[in-house]
Amino acid sequence: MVLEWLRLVDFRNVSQAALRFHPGINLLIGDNGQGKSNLLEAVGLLATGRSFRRAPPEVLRRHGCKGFYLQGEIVSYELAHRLEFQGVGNRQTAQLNGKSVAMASTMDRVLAAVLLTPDSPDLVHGGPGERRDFIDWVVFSSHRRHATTVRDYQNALRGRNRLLKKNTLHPGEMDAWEDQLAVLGARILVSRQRSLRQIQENLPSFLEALGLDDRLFELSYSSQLEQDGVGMEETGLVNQYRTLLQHHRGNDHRLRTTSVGPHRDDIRFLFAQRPLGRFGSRGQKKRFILALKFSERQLLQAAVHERPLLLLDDPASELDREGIARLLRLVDREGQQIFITTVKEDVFSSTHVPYHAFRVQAGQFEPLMEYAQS
Amino acid sequence: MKGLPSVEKAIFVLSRFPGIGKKSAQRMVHYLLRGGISEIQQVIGTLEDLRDKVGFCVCCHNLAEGARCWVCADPRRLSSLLCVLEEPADLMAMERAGVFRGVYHVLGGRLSPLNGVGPEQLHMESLRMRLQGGEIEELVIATNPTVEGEATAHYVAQISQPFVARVTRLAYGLPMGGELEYLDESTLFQAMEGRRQY
Ligand SMILES: [Zn+2]
Repeated sequence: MVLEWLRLVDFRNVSQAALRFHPGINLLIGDNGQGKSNLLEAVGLLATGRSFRRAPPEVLRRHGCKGFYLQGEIVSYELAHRLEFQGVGNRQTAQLNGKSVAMASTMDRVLAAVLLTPDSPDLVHGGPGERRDFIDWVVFSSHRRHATTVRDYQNALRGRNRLLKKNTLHPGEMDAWEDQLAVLGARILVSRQRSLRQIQENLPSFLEALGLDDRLFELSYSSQLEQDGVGMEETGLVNQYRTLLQHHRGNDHRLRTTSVGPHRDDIRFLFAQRPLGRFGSRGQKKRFILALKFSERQLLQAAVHERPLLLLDDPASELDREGIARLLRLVDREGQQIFITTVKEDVFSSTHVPYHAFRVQAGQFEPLMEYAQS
Repeated sequence: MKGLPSVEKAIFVLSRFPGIGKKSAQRMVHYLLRGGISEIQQVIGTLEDLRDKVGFCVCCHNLAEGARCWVCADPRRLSSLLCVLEEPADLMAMERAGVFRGVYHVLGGRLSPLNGVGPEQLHMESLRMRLQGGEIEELVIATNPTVEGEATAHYVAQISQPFVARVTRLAYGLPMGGELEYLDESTLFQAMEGRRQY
């Protein structure tokens, strides 16, 4: 997949811009607040239908404007596509080759992307919710049904939690909701573990490419089930959840919240068999997250059958010079289109990997000469 | 429509109807006013009939004019086959299709703790009493395939198990006349899960 052209109108601090990108590495250079992350956000919006900053439509349009417009010219599956995306008021719509499409479905049609942002360290340091969101997004990229399952599960969870706030519990009614939680919870668990297994298979090669000893790093799914439910049939998992929920009913009633289920699960990141968050160095954690993102991209690639774009927001703030060099060589080897924002160019120019650069200033983009070290 | 508070009020009331926006409500009011007294009187009479004559069936909680609904009053219906539904509208849909020969039990909604609906707010107790009679041989649960509908189905299955030999759930599957490529993932998944021997 290659994004060849991008046009932006009234998006964030950009009033009008048209950029032609390189199929390889595109470097966006500029000081903070000049608009380089906005460009990345625009590409992400075209690819995923959502803002990676979780920004609502009214924030995406340029100050004082009624709406914004994005247009991408894309080559994927050996065809040229035009993908348009606009936000007017609170409404956002997308068109593929002139025809309206549902936003969530644009992603697997012609353009897909994986993002690495400065808040990605939350994946290691943040609460379990960050890691659940990560794995759910990975599952969703290849299994659209997962979104419905998660939504239904959340509904059932809110239902049971509401019942727990009553003074007396109606056993039959509790059974009915716990049954829903057990069925949907087991389905979520199975999907998450399947995706995690695929990540586990890909991860070592990316860890190695980024200069980490892959034997020291581990990730595993942590749930409340026996052996985390690994190798069990889905019906067995449903039964386990059902029993656990029933068993914890009294305690949950005292706490007035549901303590059992995949909404309490986590993914453990281990370094030398100890928590990476506490025992890994700053550099190790950053490279680990990067490797994880490459794994995610690999899974997405298997789902969409082409190489998704990689969007890296200021990785130089995350990586040292040697890390950047390894990153660029990995990208170069994988042969995919990548967008990188940075404040300083010199860390990139010293890597001997060719790239195309743009200078970003006050919402204006100026293409620089292709940098190719002899 | 300043200075016409009665017209305003009529538009306001009519626009509460499902599928009726303010524009349609305005057109309806103007139609009524053009039609004069006889047109309005006809509507009033019809609504009064609705209020005075239509109630709920004492047996199955379907809409009824009289104590029992037309289904319960029909001696040709199989009283050993019972279908449980959420709303009278679901029953009407089933009857329009003409695929069911048994009798019904309308719950009057579905379990929804977030909306304050528990078993006590639904016609569960009268269902239990009907089942206790021992006449029902098969119970078909036809609640909607939503989380709330499924939880309700589970509850109904639970209370009927001691009394009924055969408890079934309406199958999920492909809509007739639909094309696979236009179906969403969930529908396809359910249809695949519910596949049967050809
Ligand atoms: Zn009746």
